[in-house]
Amino acid sequence: MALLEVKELRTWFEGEAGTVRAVDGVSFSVGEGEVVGLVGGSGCGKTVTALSVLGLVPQPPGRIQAGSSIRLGDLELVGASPRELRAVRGRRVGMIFQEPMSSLNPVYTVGEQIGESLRLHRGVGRREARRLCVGLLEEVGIPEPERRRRQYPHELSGGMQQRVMIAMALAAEPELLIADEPTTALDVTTQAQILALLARLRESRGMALLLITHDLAVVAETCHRVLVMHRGRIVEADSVEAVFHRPRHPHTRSLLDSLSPLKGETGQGEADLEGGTGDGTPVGSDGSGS
Amino acid sequence: MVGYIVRRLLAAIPLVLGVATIVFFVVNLAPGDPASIYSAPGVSPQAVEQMRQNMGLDRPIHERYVRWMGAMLQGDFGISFSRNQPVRDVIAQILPNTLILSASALLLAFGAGILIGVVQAVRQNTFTDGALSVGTLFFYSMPSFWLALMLILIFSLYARNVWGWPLWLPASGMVSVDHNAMGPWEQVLDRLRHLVLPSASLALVLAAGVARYMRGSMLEVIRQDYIRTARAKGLPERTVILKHAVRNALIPVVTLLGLYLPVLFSGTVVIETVFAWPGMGKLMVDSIFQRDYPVVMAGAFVFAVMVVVGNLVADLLYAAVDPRIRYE
Repeated sequence: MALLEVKELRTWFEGEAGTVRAVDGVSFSVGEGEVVGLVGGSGCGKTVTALSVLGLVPQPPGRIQAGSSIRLGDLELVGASPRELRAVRGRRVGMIFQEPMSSLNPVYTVGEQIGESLRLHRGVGRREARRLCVGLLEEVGIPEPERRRRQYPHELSGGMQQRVMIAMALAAEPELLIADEPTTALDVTTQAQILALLARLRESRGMALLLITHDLAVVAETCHRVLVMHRGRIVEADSVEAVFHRPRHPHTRSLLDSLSPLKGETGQGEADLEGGTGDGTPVGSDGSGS
Repeated sequence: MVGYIVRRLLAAIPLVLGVATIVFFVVNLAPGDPASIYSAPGVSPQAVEQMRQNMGLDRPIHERYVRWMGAMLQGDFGISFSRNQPVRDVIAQILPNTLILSASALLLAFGAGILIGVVQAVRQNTFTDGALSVGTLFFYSMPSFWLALMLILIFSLYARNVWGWPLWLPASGMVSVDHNAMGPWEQVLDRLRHLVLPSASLALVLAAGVARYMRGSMLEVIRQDYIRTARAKGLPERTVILKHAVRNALIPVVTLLGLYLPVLFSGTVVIETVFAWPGMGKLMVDSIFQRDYPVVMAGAFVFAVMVVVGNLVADLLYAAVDPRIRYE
């Protein structure tokens, strides 16, 4: 049985210049313990899809349209009460974001921010939260966790900050981790480390992972299945092998070509990629961001 | 940290001495003669001249400056012309009254302002937001002395004499005439009742400014990624706002504290006069009218020191709310 089942998800943004259909009829599922990559160019609706799952799309201007369905196990999340959503957020579905620096609150220590999740979801006291926090920091590969715990986000490197975000998301032992471009803001070496960490944690904890990225290389290394998004829709969904070896949609092909610019045999370059991601229409290319 | 405080205070010395110098020359070169308060029917011009010599006013101005500055640096502010007691004693007696008034006005201004700003930001573009915006703009654009008079009219005069409210507020002084006959709790209550109108007059105008600032700052913070993170954690909205947003939104508002201190102190000059509050402001005004040079100069000096210290406190508070700021 699928852990997360998204059907006909439509998240639109209503602005003065008209309605932007950031996500326009997206269906997919993530099975228990499965790693699914959600790929697409910037502005294609990846992030809005992820935010919709946790009900984090700012409304207004955003609105999940009638007919959309997001099921987590037996629970329908579209139209769920704030209380029901809060019980899912952090506890059953953890989320990490693109910019670890701005995603951590600058005025609280790392330990305070992780401890907050522990106290909220595991109902432990301050002392127990401190102990668990050190364990989590250790698990995500932060050296000297006892010292780091007492530091503020700005005192850590980008890679460390992302590890802290991961520790925070893991605090409640979620069934699903949504990682929205978790490595985009990091340098190449750190990217590889964070991806390896995510893969290791997923395996040891047996949780599912929805990995959102614009980088197919990342998908190739980590995912079982790939969803390719374009202009608010999923244009291709298949196993990693199939998508890499027999891409069906032209947009997938241009994404693949952007992987190795030296390949060049197909004659597709950056100009084609531009054409492929398509700007001009408000759908997909505009607003909402990823 | 301690080193930083010491350095800041040392750096403030030339500033404060500069202020003292300017005040000295402004006061001494202004028209008017302090000895003239002694000229009355039956007092001979020679006697007045004798007084002038006693006060040292027959000396050339540069000599008076050097003497005054030399004495002041040793903590001697001279003798008040009009009160015939050392200026230091006069100020020591009166300064606490102003500190009470200023501190309660500041607390009220920032407490109310922050609260209103947060409510407005959370309810952005609703009726509540609009109504509070109009309200704060109303007080923001109002001169505090006029506001003081209106408050007296409503809460003192009409409340007591026309509408007969049981809870009217006194309009002048720090305590009632029969204060000494009251029990200890009644005395505290009596002081608080006297404090309400003057501190509200000072605070409302400032609170309006703080609220507008806080609203903008909150709206900025609410859009930040870490607020989304806090929501994604599953925290209740109340915790997201009160714990994660407010503390960050306070950072720019704390700088207002330093900016508002001079406004507050100049406000006390007017408000203390309106409410007959025996504080530094009223002392300054009375002393200016009586050409009581030593008191005016010492008073200006004390205000300068308070602004400097207040700004230092504001900067230290800044570091207290924002851990990214460290003073070495």
